[in-house]
Amino acid sequence: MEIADTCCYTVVQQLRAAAAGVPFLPVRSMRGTGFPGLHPEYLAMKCPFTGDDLLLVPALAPDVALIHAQYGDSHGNLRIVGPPVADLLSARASKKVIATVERIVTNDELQALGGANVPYFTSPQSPKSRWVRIRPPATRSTPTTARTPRSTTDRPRPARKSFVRAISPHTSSIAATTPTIWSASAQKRLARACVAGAMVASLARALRGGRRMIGTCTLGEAMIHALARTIEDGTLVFHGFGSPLVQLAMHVAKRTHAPDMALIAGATYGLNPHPPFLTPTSNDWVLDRGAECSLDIEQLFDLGASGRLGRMFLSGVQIDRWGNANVTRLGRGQLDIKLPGGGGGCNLSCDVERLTLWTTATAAPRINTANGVSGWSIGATSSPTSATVRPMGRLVWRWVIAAGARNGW
Amino acid sequence: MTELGLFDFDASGHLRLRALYPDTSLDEVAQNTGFRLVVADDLSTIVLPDPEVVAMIRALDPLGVHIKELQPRDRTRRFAVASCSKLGSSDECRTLRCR
Repeated sequence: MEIADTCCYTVVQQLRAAAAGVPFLPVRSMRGTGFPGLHPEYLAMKCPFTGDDLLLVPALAPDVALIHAQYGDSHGNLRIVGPPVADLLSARASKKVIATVERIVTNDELQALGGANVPYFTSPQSPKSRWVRIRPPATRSTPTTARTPRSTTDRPRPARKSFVRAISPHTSSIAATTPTIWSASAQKRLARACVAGAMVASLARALRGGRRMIGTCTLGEAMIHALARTIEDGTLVFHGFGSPLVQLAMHVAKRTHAPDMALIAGATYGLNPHPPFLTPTSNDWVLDRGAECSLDIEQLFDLGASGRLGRMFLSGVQIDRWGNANVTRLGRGQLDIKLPGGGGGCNLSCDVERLTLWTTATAAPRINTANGVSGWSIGATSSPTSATVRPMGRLVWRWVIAAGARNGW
Repeated sequence: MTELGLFDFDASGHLRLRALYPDTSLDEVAQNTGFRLVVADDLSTIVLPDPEVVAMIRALDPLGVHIKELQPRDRTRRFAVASCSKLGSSDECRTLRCR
């Protein structure tokens, strides 16, 4: 298995090319970063229509896409409730789809569950684009390497129906016993605990004299406030996975000086959500509560690529004097420490109008790599004006070692 | 934006220190920066939130999720905040040190 760092929108374009049956698609971003250097298959091109410098990325058709849906029917249609993120695109591009569902319903019931989530600032899309057909399992007579026909004449066959029925009891039992990241009951318990805690805290505040008792703020609160002040009102602002400080900064900005900002939450891609509280993981659906609509990964990154994303927040394990950020690896030559990777930052750092770079760990102890070099800025992101790999000094941050679900963006 | 200060970029695209926290110093930033530090002529102190904003943040994050993003030694750092009207001077409001 070969592994290479890449970036969200680049993969989106590669999957789109595979889904559309064309050999490549262009991207405008990534130029000026170190990522093209990791991918010799990318080609540069001058646009014959506009003269723009473009990067061509080849179609990428996964052998298998693994997705999960709440509902499926006996034909293999799926209904994904909530933010679909990259599931639809992955299903369209892949040669085979393996799906788990929580409940198998009739097609009529599935239709009744459907509905369009069309963001007001994106092109209308058919509600049917949320429906994905499960590929039938390959029979023994079918070579496993053969691509399943995707023509419109490929109608459901009895074998497919029996396949779905065969797994039905199993998937139902899985659905009954496997909680999501935060089960509904756990969320309710947590919400009740938070409400109770908040009531106790507010009572305590009232007894102490209310808000006048807030005489100090923490470093985190000061940073949240300073990050919020970088947000202009009326702009489209996005945060990515695992950025509690930035999440809070965006909600503070929305509630204070920037009521007309369009807030897009990371992980859920929900627009202007009103989460009751910040959850320990940014993949929690409670963070999508009250969202006016939810985008998917294509829509979000198209907003960036078309120049409509106003501000984004990014970090890196190293940031150099020109704003290049190292997001891929530490070590010269031999890999010493693998970093979380580019996420969507490599594309968005080129595409967004304005960028806020931030970190909480410039003064953390240095990471000592095997060759004694603290690291090099390889996957350089951000400043489009600086194109080359640059050596770094002591700006090495420790949280990469403690990287968990909340690292990276 | 770092836990030691606030930077912008100068005309050449080089990071430039614009503001410090009430409890950080130029030396501390320089010691933790691998390149030559460029400092703005009007180096100031980071604008701290009003108590109302602090209350808002605490209401939005009752579990203190954001605290985990800070280095352990930074989690005890506190800065005095008070409404400027009480103090009568915004400068005083920004530079008050906590205990």
